Parts: sequence; C-alpha cells; structure tokens
Amino acid sequence: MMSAIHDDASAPDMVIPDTGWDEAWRRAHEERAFWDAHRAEYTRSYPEQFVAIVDNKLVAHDLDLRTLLERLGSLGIDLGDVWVEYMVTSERPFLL
Amino acid sequence: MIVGWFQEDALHPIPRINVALWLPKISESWAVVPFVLDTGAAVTCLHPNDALLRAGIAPIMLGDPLRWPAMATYQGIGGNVRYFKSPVQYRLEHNDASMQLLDGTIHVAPWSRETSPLPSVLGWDVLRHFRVVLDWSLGLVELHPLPTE
Repeated sequence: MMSAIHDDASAPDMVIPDTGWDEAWRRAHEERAFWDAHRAEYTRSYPEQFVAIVDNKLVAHDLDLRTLLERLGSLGIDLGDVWVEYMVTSERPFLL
Repeated sequence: MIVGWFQEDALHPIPRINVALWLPKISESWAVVPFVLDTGAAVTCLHPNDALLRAGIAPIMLGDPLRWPAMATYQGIGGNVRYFKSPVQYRLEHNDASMQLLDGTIHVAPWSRETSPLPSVLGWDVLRHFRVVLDWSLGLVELHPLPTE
C-alpha cells in the first residue's frame, strides 16, 4: 500500500523512479548495524574525526570532511561505496 | 507506524529515523538518510556528510548558490546559516511494509567546516504529519499516522 501527501504546492511535477529503493534500504540497515556495533570503538580511537568505512573496514579518518573525501578520491574509492560518520564525544556534543 | 531508534552517543541518546529521499534533477538513486528527529527545527535540513555521501550531491553544488533554485536563511543555536532549497520526495516505510510519500522542500547546507559534522534533521515540515512518540525509558522512537491523513 502506498499513500501520498503533497505538502508543497510549489513543488514541480516529479517523475520518481521506483527502482533502487530496496537496495538503498538494504544498505541503510547494514550501515546502521555496523555503526551500532562499532561506534563506541571508533569514538574512542578517533574522537571528533570523520571515519570512512568500506566493506566493513576502516579505510581513512580525518578531522576534516573535505580532506577525508580527497583522500578517498586518491585511493580510488567511489563515494557511493563508503560509509562516513563523525565521531561525537562528550567534550563537544551537538546542540541543535 | 514508522519505527526509529535511539542512537546512544557519548553524552545523550539521539532519536533517529530512516527516511528515503529523491531530489529531482539531482538524485541518481534513492538515498536513505538516518535523520535526527528535531522538534525544535522548523524545516528539514540535509547536512554535508549526508548530502555528499548518502544523497550523492556533487561537492561542487554545495559551494555554488547558482546551482540551486532558491536559498533561505535560518537561525540556529550556532548562528545564521543560509541553506539551498530543493524540491524533494520523502519515502517513509511503515512497520507493516506500506510506504508513505511526502512531497516538500528540503534545505541543503553549504559545505563548511562548521556544518560538516552536523547530522541531518527532520523538522516540523515533516513531523507535523505524524504523532511523534519519543520515550527513552521504553526505547521508543515512533511516528504514528494522524487520523486525518
């Protein structure tokens, strides 16, 4: 079953593909399970850094996202294949 | 009902929920983003880590206002930030496997050292379509459909 709410009258007509949804959702579940299992460990090892994971393995880490992405590029890693998270610590928690 | 989870971070639990995005003329595939439920946010915002690595937005776009149809400035705890605005379709998965679509506008943060670490937030433009349940004692993060929708 699918229901739709058109919330923004200014939004143009959108042609939305129905493909790729299952794969995106599967990867999201895998990624969440990975970070649930490893976030504490990486936060201890790389506090306040961005950590990049490919195939469940650490491939790079850096304080700066731009530098990290440049490093991933130099390693020939497709950004679509990498999981990146910022390791938040109690020293500098988010205040949204 | 859409079910999320509490991410246990160093200092406090963070309520998150997975939402799939499609940005017309930008997206090449569906992207699932683990948004933070932010009842203090007026609108839904995508921050650089998710924009670049999950939504697949090209880095050059996050630095160039001319590539976006509109911009808006919002006040936050840390000061004012200008966001790029884009039409979006959200796709939320209920626990009975049904899908709910929402059309709206998403606000994409420019790339900066300050915005890069921030999680993306699901604001009231989306949350107002649901009854929001956050119960740390029971571990509940849930969005329930409203009777009228």
